[in-house]
Amino acid sequence: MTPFRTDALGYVAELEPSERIVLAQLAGDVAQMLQEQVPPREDAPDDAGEPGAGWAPPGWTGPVPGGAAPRPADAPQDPAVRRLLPDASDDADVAAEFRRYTQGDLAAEKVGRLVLLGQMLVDGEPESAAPFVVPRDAARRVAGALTDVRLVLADRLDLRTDEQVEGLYDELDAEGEDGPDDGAAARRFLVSVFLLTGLLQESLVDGMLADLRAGHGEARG
Amino acid sequence: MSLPPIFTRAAVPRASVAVPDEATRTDLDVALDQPWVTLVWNDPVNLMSYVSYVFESYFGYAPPRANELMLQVHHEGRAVVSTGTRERMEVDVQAMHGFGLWATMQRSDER
Repeated sequence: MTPFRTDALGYVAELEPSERIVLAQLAGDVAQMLQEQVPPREDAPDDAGEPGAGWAPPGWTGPVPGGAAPRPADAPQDPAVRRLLPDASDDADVAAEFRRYTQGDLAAEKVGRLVLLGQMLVDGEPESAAPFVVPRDAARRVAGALTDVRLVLADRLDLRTDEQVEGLYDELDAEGEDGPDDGAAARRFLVSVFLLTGLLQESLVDGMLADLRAGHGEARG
Repeated sequence: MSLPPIFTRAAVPRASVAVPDEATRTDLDVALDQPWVTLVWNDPVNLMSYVSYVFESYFGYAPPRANELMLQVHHEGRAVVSTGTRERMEVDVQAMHGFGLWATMQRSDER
């Protein structure tokens, strides 16, 4: 892996085929977790057919006067998915209402960009190390997808503090006894993937931040 | 000069809203007097540069202000990143969750 650098095409890293497969698989796994924990919202309430009722401006996703409110949404049970869709308030009523109106859209947004990342990674199925190009107009979504993947990995690795994350390189450098202990080997693998995604994320965001400050980043909105 | 249709149409659904009862009106008055805030909380995963990127690109903060808020999140565990109506804070919190940051909202006088 070579971290992202900025060029005319956007942001370009170099990835080994094995790295692409692992990252694409992981993005797909996280997308699937989100879909399992947050079933798509049924946006067809029985009484929505009445003319004049429930009109809303195009693009409006909030409550609609005269229209049926979306059903309450349960908080995800899996702590990793819950970190991607956290409580929006200490106040249980405020948090529940927020979930009710936003959780379906947020989950769909995250699934969409995870799928995008997975597709970009395996696009063309390169057989050797090859450039991984992230166009500027896709950079924010890719950075968001990488963030969600890293949040899920951190939960699975039980990383709760800055110190634990800072200690990961030492943990990886320590002689592992990858013998009969499958758990240790699995953890070392996840740690190495977490660090790989961190390097990708950091180099991508450095480029995005430099472009933003120079006035030619992705448009705000 | 006539208003574009979108403005006149918006009045139609509003007319169908039920008159709020006494309790609802009281809540509304409180909400108007005391604005809400969006808080972003520290987490061990998100990189400092990414948090700065979010604060600069989404809120439009200048780099020094975004950096100050990012460091406040990192060192103090949280920072108030925006203030406004509850509805506005819902938009900001949703955006923060979209970026993968951990954000909550509360009335500005809660601590």
